[in-house]
Amino acid sequence: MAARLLIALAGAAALLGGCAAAPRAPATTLAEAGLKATGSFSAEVRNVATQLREADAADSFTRTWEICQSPAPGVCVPSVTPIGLAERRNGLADVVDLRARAIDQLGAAYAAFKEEAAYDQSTDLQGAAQSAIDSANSFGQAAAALNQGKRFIPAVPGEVGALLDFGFGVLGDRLQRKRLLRANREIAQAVLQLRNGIQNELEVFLTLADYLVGKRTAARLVFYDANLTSPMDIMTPLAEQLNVTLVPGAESTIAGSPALKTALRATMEANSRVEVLEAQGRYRAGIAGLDALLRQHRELEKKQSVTVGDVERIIDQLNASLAKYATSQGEQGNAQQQQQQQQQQQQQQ
Amino acid sequence: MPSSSNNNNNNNNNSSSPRDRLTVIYNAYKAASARRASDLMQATTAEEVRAITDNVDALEASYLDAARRSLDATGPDIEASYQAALSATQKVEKAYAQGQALAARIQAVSGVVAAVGNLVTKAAGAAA
Repeated sequence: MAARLLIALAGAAALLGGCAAAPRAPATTLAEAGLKATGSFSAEVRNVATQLREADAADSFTRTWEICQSPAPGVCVPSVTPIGLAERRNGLADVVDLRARAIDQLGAAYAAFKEEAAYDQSTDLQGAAQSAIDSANSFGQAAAALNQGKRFIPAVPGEVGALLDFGFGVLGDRLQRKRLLRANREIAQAVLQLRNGIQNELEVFLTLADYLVGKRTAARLVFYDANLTSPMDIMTPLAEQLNVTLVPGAESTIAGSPALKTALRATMEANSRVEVLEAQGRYRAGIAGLDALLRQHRELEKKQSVTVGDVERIIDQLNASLAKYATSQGEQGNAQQQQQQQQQQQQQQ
Repeated sequence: MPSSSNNNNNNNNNSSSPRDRLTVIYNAYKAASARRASDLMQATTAEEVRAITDNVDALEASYLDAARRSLDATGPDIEASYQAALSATQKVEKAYAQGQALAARIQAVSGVVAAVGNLVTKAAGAAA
């Protein structure tokens, strides 16, 4: 009876021949693009939250140094960021993190989509069918043996088995195609909602980028004005950008020239503007990435194939910008580390 | 300074949108913050120093409040998008599991058939 059930099911499956195949390959491509896009965007948004939480240290340093420049008597005492401001920044960071959480969840949806696309139901069902056929044949053989050695007629003859095999493959394909297209629609809906929500918050994130870079720049300027950082951190990249070679002793020339020091300060402020634009660009790139994904979801629905070139391009730009940001942070850290080492060596001498 | 080019202000009159207000508040903070160092260098009393820093702090607090209000206003949309993504994830995972279960069910049936076959074989052996 079980064998009959299998035959009926397989027969129905065989009728499904000619249906479009499950778009596993394009779904995989789209899922991978979605994972990349959400991963980069989430990192960018979390970075904003982290910077908000970590702003107090540099902020307290800057404000105290500025207060200490005042000629007013007795004011040069540590001035920590007021608790009200710290709490506001932390509260804002929590709310920003909710955006990253939503983006991460979308990433989880793409991960599930990728897993489904990686699964080959056609082959799985064919394998299951084959073992069912083998079992049915074995059963028939055993039954024949019990029936006092009468000729064994396979429960599922080989030719029919092959046909059923094909039918199960088509059934698996069709079932998976249906699931993939349904998942495609579900995820596209979530992408659209997230994209619209985040687009509506663009102005807040643009000001936040400006605000956070402004905080960092203010602290860097204090380091510079107080001669805590080398002017070469600014001068060397500028010379490279202009394709000129600095003469030996350039650092002491700068140190002895108020005009050069002021000019480098202006360069720092100009670099800060670029940093703001890059941070804002990364956020916009995140939204553009979601837009590109939406287009590819529509393509998958229409043609069942996708080209994720534009998604890849946007994500590559975003990653390149992030890498540049990480490198510049690292370079600043290295420069500070080198300076500390130099100071230690001088002290030892 | 952030641009307001993406402003969805549908008002035809002169009333400001929350985004306009956010930008105005932010620019006020930014200008005061940029002036703080030079203002402090000119301050000659502790009261003046306190007034300058309090002023910038108040503007910064206003900006952070405005940013928070804006994000809180769109919070339900973001929460809805999170729920949509969560629902999509769960549906995709569930459908996938159900899809796999079909093959598993067929395997189970064939297992039963094989088990019955074994019993029959044993019975045949006993009968011989």
